[in-house]
Amino acid sequence: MKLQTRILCLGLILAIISGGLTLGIAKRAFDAILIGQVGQIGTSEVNNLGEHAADGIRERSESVLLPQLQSAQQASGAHDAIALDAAGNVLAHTEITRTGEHYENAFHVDVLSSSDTVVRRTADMLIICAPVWEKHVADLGEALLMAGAPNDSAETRIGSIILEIPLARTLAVSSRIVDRLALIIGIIGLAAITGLVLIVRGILRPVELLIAGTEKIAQGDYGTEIRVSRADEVGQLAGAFNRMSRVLAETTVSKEFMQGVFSNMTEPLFVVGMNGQISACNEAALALVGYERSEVLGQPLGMVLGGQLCSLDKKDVMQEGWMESVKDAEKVLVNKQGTRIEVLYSAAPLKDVQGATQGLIVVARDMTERKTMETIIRRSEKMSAVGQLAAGVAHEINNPLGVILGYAQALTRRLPSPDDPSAVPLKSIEKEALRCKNLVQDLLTFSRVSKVEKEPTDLNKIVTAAISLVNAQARMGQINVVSKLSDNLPHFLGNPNQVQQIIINLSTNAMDAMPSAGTLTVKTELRDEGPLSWVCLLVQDNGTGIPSDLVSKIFEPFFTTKPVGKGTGLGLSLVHEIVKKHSGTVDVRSEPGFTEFCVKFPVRFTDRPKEAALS
Amino acid sequence: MKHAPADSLNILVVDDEEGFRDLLKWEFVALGMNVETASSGDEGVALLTTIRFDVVVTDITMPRMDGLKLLEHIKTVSPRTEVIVVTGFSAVETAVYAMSHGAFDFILKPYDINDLLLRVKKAAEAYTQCRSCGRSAA
Repeated sequence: MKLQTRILCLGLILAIISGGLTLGIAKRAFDAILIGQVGQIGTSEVNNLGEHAADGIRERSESVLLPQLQSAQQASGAHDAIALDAAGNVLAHTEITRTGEHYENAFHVDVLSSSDTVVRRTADMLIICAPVWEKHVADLGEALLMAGAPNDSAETRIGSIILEIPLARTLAVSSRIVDRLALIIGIIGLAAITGLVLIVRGILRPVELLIAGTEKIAQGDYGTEIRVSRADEVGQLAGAFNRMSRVLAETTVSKEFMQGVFSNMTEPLFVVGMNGQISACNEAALALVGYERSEVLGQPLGMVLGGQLCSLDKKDVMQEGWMESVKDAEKVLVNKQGTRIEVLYSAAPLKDVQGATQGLIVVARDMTERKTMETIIRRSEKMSAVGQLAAGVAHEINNPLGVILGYAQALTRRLPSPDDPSAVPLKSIEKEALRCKNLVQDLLTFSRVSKVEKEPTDLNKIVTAAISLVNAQARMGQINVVSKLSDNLPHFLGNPNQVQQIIINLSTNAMDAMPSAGTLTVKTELRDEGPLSWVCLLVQDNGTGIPSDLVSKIFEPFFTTKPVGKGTGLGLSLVHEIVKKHSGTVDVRSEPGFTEFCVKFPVRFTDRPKEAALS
Repeated sequence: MKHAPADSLNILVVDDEEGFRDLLKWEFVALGMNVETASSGDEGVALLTTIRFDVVVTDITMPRMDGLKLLEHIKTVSPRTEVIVVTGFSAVETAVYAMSHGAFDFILKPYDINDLLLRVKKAAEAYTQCRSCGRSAA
């Protein structure tokens, strides 16, 4: 239970008890005072009556007594007034039907036998009884008669007067007063409790601030200060708290903070104990090796980093780094899935305050992405070198080639008959010169890829046109050409000539992979990947497939697996270059018996089919 | 200024490549045409002062004076002479420029010699027609 609630409850209980006690005592006091007053009035009336009623009683005259009784009844507010003889017989009663009754019960006998005025209280009645005396001149005989009487004076008790005064009204007055008093006490009590609550809250507010501040510090937020502008003990406590917090901030680094740094850092980090086993590692490290934390902790580092396959041998792990730091050594590790990962490996001894080696800290940075980037950069450097070479050399090669081609064609035309012995060599010169010309044009296309005009382009239309060229070639190699074109393909921004070049190059490549026979499939489709739609061109063959170690090289300029003179090594790199200039991607998927090139061009929603404006 | 007979066309070949000059001269001479050659624009200009040519075949990229300047010069001094412009692979823009400045035709290098012959013949026909209409007007 909160302190505030406890104090409040205690206050309430105290208030109720003290209020109740006060009211109880007050009620008794009021009753006593009020009844006392009623009793005094009654007593004086009874005594007065007793002095005057002696004659009436002696004579036993109701008619004398009754007016006297009625007057006393009225004066004292009594319910009944009664006159009795010494034997307890009622001589007169304000309720006249009761005249003649005889009072003989214990109460009355007790009251009537008292020689003084007696006041007795019943539950709702105050009964006052006074004796009535007769003074007489005592003669000897009477004096002797009276010798046994309790009253030894010269008076004889001849009867009694009783007044019965009801207390209901008196008690009601007392109750009303007590009710008022209760109301006043209630209001005062309420005010007191409200005040108490305010005071308690005032005291507890800094305590609450201190609790919040303590919790912040517990979470590692050192330097937390609280504001309490009080000069008392609580204020001093707050000041001490703030000083402690400041000191903590200056001197302590929280474990949670260190844990946060450790687990959120992007570099994979392992901590190895003196026994060579991993004692801790971060999330990045788990992501690198592909194991669960439980599979890694307690295992030798060398095993986790790929066991036998890992280029990190035991010496690396156990010796390098223990003596002196290793920095950025290129290593290869093998993850759980068996993938080889090139890493930059750094290791340094973990030393305690005294400088004693406690273990080893190992960082293995994944180089895969950087290696990929390096390949891309190298390829694009090669590309640009090819472009420059082409621009510089093509013109020079073009001219002599043109001359050779020109003579060959002119001479061929002048042959007297197609069977002339010179026909074959001349045709051969022309053919080879044409091959050179194509190479030059490929090179020149390279240098011209960057400056192309693009227009909304229908891929299906280009594929259809290109297929007719491909078909002519395919017939020679018993290759079946199948095209599967998706309907309703959106247009994309492209250069039709270059896109056609892509199809022809990929098709030629596919046909070369199927030297005897096979099926060349050209497909188009629309794909939604990420936020963009892509128009896709798929060229598939069921030829020999590309060895996996060559897949990364096929787009490099001048890389070819074809026999010398068969390929220039520019076909696929040209495809790559053109696709790149179209902001597209080209991917290859290959296994023996199936190879697929997938070229994707992004579709923008503005690239709607547009009527060609012919002027 | 000497006039060639109607069936014997005067052709000027301007190219800085000796191989092309020799090829075209060999080809055109064999077809019975009168052929002069020049290795640059300014040599062509010099020849134009002494001979009236029916057709000029000129390369564009040449040292000193290029084919386009020569074209402009020819169209100034001998407007009826037809000019065929030979351009490199990557010079479509210059071909368009040449056509708009009075060239009869253009052909991309490396060309098919038979294709070039066809164009030269067409140009000669156009020249002849133009000359006859010029006579009838006179």
